[in-house]
Amino acid sequence: MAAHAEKTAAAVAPERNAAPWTPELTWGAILLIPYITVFFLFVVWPVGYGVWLGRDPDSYRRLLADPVYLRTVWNTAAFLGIGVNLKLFLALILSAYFMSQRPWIRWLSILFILPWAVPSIPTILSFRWMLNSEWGMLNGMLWDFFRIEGPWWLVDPKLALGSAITVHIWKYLPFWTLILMAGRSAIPTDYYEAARIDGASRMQMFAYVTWPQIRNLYVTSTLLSTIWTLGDFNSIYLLTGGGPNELTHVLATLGVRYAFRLQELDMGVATVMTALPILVPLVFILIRRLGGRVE
Amino acid sequence: MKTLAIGLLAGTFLTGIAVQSASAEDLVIWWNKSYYQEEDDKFDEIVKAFEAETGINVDYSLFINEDAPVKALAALSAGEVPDLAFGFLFDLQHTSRWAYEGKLVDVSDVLEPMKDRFMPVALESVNLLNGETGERSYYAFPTQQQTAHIHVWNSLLKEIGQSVDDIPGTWNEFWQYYCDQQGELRQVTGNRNFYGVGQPMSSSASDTIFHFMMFANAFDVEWIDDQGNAVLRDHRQQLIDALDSYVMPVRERCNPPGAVNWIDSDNNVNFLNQVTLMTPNPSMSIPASQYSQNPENYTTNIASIEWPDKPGGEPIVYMTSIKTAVIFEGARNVEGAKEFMRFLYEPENIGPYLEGSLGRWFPVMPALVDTPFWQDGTDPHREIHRLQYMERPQNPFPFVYNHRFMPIMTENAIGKAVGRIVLEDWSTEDAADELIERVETALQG
Repeated sequence: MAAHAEKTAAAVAPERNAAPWTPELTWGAILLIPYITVFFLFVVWPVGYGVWLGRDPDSYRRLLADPVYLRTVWNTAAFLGIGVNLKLFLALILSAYFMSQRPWIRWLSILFILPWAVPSIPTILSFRWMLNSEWGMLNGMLWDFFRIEGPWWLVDPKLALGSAITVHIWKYLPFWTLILMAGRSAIPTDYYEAARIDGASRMQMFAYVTWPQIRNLYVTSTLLSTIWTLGDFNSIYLLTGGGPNELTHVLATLGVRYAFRLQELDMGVATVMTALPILVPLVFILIRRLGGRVE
Repeated sequence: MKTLAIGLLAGTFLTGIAVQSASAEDLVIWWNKSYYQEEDDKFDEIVKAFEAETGINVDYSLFINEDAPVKALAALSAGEVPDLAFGFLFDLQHTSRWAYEGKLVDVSDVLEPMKDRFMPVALESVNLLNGETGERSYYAFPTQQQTAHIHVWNSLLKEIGQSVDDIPGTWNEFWQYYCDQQGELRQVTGNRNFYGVGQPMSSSASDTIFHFMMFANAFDVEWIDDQGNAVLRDHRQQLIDALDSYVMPVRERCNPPGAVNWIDSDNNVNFLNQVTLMTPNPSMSIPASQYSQNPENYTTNIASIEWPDKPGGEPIVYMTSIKTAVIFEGARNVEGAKEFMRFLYEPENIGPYLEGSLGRWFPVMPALVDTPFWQDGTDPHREIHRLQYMERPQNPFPFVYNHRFMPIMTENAIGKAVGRIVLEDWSTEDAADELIERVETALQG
């Protein structure tokens, strides 16, 4: 069978090579020009320019010698590890809740989507003001209702990073909840009816019906969210600005600090380039997963 | 990163278009947008008067503080520079480095004939080293200056039976005074989060640098000598004392804890919201903001006072930042740019322009102070302002003597040292040693 296929391919190949250049092909080539031009100008050139800017090995040596960078790598790992997994886990739970047909839950789901829908700048800056140690709303309420001196949310570096992770989750949880709701709604209701007839509990229905059906979606969402979260600049920059004392930077904000505040573009590019060992395998795995699904 | 690269590419491209769109006889000026409309209006009047007198067509654009250096850098990168550029942040971030790298036109032919019209610190601040020639010369035009001021809520002091006259004039007692009033003022105001001092403690605020430089002056810290060599290690103990004094309000819990996150506007906001009794500020923006909005605050409630004397009793030396306009090498109309600056320097032009800032900036030419605006003895703020600049000793920032000090400013190594102490529980000695090492490394290039 394989030998036959090879022979057939060999026989067909010369014919393909000899195929005449038709007017349709000419038009096809002409119509490709705008796409190739745009692709070159807005993808190949900027990315290539970025790689070229980050080509100096000395930038990476200086980066590794900077204590701020090492702290940033740790922060990025915590931001991704906690932020992405907690967010997706909560989205998984909430997606079940919002699948309910009760009218008030429908209305609640509209409110729930708001954090994701509204722009980052006013919302995250509002958080910044709410978490202010001296006159923020949160500490004010803690004092007014319980006579408790609230923690210094954005002053203590660990609390500040925790606050940034919380804001990130608050902001993007609705989106991932929607995605998982879409996944849940694609599961045929027959499966649940059959499970119910067999006497399955809610947990068993989740373990044996829901989870197997949405597991791939959950893993793909986790990968995609990791990639996006790696580039999340707003949650950190607008809430803490990388402070206090540069202790809550992630790679995205540190890159901008180098490039624009310190006017060291090569260091800024190098900072972001160091995310590639994580980013490229993630993209590769994601594309393979999506490709496999298409096939 | 892709976005960054596209942005730079687009910025460079648009910069080129913007500069090329002017004809060769035009004068292309990039100027810093002012804080008040009056200043921008005055600048527009000056431009129109210049055009009428010389016949040179001026094509000018205004950029906000942070954008002015970014635009200038993009222009330098594109090789398409304006004929004249001015930015409030130029001197604090770039001017001495640009001069060293040979990117600035020597403007001695403009300044030399009028040298006696400028204050010494202004000329000293633009007499910069060119690394290509190895010579110092005038590579920038001084336009105005800023130094650190201190503002106090006079009205709050009155509520506890005190006045600004009760504030001690010597260093340690001066700072301790505000901490001592905090408890009573918390009771009077009913605000449990009221603080005596509003000192920025963050590495995000350039105000931290400005204010700490005053503390460094108080303790006779020397960063580099006139030849540009690092001498900070020889002044280690003074640096430790200055750092200890700077963080004292945090240790005494009389400075807002959130000050470790402040940006430059936050000490203004906290002071104007009466969260703090006093705050230093490197411009007169706090009273100026109240001039029209709340005249009573301007005239009565807020007081501007002098910095205290050094711990040893000698008068404090004011660290002064001289704002600079520059002509980049490669500018197409260098003579037109110089002509414009000669025109601007006429007292009837630059005088009203600076007065339009409502006292935010101070002139670099003593003659400009002999006007009713500055000599108005009834104004509670301008009088102190005039005293600080005209009758007290001044010194320029260390980067004037060595451009390699600039990274210390841009990365805010001073704010970092302060943060090490107040946030990371480092000893003052360790924080000082790290700062000394960083300064020495930076100066080695």
